[in-house]
Amino acid sequence: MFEWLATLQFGAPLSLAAAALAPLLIYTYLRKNPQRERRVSSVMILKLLPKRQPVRRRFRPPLRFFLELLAILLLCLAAAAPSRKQPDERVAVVIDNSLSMQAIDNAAGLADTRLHQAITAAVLRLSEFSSSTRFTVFTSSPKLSRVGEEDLSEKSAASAIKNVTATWAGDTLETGVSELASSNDYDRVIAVSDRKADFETASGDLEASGSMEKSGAGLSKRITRIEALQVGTRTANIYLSNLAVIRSGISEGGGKLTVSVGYSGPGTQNAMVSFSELQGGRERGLGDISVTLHSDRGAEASINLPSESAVGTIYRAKVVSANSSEPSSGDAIQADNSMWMSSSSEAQGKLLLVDAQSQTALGLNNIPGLSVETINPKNFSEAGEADLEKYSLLIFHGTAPTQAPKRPTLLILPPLNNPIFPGLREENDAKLSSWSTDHPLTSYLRVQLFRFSHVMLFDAPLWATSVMNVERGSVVVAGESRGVRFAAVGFELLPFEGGKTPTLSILTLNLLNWLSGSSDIGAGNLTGGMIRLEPGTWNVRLPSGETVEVVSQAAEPAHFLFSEPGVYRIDRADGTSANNNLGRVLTVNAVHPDESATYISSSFQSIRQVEHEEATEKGMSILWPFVIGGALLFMLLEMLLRFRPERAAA
Amino acid sequence: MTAIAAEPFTSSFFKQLQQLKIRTRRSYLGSRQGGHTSQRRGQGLEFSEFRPYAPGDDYRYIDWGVYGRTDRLYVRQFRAEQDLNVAILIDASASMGYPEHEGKFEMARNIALAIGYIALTDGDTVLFSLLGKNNLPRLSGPASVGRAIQFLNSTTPSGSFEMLAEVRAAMATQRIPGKCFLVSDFLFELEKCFEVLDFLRSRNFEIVLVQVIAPSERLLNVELGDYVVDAESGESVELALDHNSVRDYGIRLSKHIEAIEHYAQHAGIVHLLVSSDERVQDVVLKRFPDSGILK
Repeated sequence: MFEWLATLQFGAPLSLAAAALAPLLIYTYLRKNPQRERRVSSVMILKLLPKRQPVRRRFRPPLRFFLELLAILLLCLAAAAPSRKQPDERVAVVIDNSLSMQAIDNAAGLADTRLHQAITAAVLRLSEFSSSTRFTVFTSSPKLSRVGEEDLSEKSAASAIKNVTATWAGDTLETGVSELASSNDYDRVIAVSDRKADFETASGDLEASGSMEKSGAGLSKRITRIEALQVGTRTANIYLSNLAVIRSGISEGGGKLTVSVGYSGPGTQNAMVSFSELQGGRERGLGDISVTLHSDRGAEASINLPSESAVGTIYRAKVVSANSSEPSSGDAIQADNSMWMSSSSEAQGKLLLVDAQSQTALGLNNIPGLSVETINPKNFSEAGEADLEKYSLLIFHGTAPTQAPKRPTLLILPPLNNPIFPGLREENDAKLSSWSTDHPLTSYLRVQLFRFSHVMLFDAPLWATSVMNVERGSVVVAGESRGVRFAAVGFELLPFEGGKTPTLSILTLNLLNWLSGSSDIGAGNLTGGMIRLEPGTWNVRLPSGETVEVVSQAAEPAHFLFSEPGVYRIDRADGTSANNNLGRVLTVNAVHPDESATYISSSFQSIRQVEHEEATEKGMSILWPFVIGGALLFMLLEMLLRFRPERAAA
Repeated sequence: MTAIAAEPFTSSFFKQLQQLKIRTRRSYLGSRQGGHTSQRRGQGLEFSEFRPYAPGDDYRYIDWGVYGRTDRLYVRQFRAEQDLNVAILIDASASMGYPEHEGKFEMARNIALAIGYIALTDGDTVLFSLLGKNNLPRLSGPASVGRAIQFLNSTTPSGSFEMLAEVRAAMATQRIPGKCFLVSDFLFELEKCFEVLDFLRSRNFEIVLVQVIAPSERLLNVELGDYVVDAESGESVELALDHNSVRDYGIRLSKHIEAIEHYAQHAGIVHLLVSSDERVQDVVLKRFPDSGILK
């Protein structure tokens, strides 16, 4: 409020002095009705009353007096021509608070996190602006979010920045900066990150002598400049990824627990990986494996699982640097040193393939441990839910169900209007543009080798992840909705040909494994990700042990954000028994290889400035019309009161 | 100012009024036969004395018992039942209209009409006078009630006058004493009040004072620093009051009323203090009989 008032200016401030005439109004009321006259039947007795100390007459004006007074004051204010000065510059400050900003930067000489360095740098940069500059603070992880109010003063913005905390998730710095720069709301966007800005210059680059260009009609075109402050130095880090139970057969217990240990740093580093299992609330150590990590090249650590280990157990892997004197010197981030996984209780290995064209298994029956049944769409539509219970997975090839099944489902080239992953369009010769490196579906996959002649593009719903993208949309999407996993592939995946088409085959196996949950591989759920909860009231037990209640409405289902790594338990608040994964245990991991690679200086793409097509008002926003309006309103009310009909005499 | 409405003068109230009679402590000479005993000897129901029979006397009144004892003829004489001369004087000055909307004058008017109705239906002669305004020539008989109502409705309280002069003027036509009802708020100087009462006593009237006060007049209903104006005289007084003034006012008003009561008691005058928010039925049907004004 005070900041808003500070932006007020007056074109004729002397007019405010006219408000000193307001006491005249009081005088006129006193004169008009100096005293209250009372007619009495006789003053005979009143005259006999002894005179006391004269009493000061109270000034009790009617409502009209206040309306007239307000009207006069507002007219004086309007005569002073108030206006609100627009800030000289509007600046958006984006603080990268992703996982990598937790890294402790020993090279700086102080054990200081990158985030703290970013905060210091941002606050210092703010002090270099003029006092009329207004700032809006954003964080970039897990998505672009505003911190506090818009258009803060330097002091308020610095305070907001100092309250930023790091997350365990990746960031959206690149898209966030681009979004803010394109919004035409800011003259400058400052990104503070451990990532370097890789600026590409726009054609017809303008010299930034000022942020505005005059156009006709007194309005100005805005140019938004992007600025990047890089903090942090290269620092070594050890992290885990791809915790998996590899079973010899999909339906068998036992197997091998394996984890990938990543190292981003110079030389070699020794580390110790500890495996444990959690069952019934107790953690039991399974064994420790020492590994040697080479520069930017990790290692695998694995142990054999006891044959009595049941499916549904939670496994944990933890890595510590073997540098006992200073563990953190080779391990800048601790949050990525642990991983959990939960193996599903379902391990049936039976698959139903729904295909309109072919009644064969399309090579899927060649996958060891997998049995395939085929059915045409018409017969599928007649099948009941009970008929589908025996299948661990449904695959729809070139077709789709009319509604989302309650079994894990894979759609391969489904119709555009399917109910699970609506399609956007079909394209030819689409080029791969990006993919998620930490999703289980891309494990062991050289995604760059994919070539598409014809693809179908999807629009990933909120609960799903775009796993692989081409320039204009997603070609592989996957997610979990109402406790069931779904995935869709927009290019031909079948027939399964094994080693003849290794890339497609690995993707197919990844899909089968992830969907059926019979062999958890990869990172599971990630911090920064969300899960959609079915309508109802849920108790979510966090890794810290705290339980939070989440209410999900049918009209607006709740999405629960996994903000920290660990084991979550989700149950219905009314305690009804779990079925179909309605109450279950989930493991969430802070596996973001890009963030954990703290020894590599990563960059984000940005252009240096954006010239906006639309003009924007600059300078002053006049306020006197509103003030006049207020004065007229009060005068109207006063007139209504003055001329209201008198009450009829009794 | 509202006229005398049907309420409270409903038919049942009128019937109740018909049961009542104006009580007098003395006998008065009336002008004609009525319902009251008078000093005149004549036909009536109340035995007065014996006198020797004279030729021409009504032989029905010969007292044969006395003859048997004395062997002389005597006739019984009765007090003649005569009408009562009733004067109803109502203060119609401006003070009776204040405080506004508290019905002081309406109460006075209703009391006057009720008394007048009782008197007229009882065969009495009634003089109505709106002091400071007008007098109604003497009425008699129940058929005159309508004229009485019309007269009492004809004015509103206003103006200022000397009470004694108006009372003198009203009573100028009253040669025969009787009962006088004076209805006012009596919020004027005690000396003038007593002068009026002395005058009426000198005319040998049996006086009833009905003092009508509004509820808010009993309180000091002015704000500190207010400027008050006498509704009758127009005299203005700037008040310098504090919270003790409320108590002072109450004491002084009580003393004023007590002074009137005291005088009335010594003078054999009936004084009744009526609040304008009372029901006229309660005043006339209960309080008047309890005070000996009616029977």
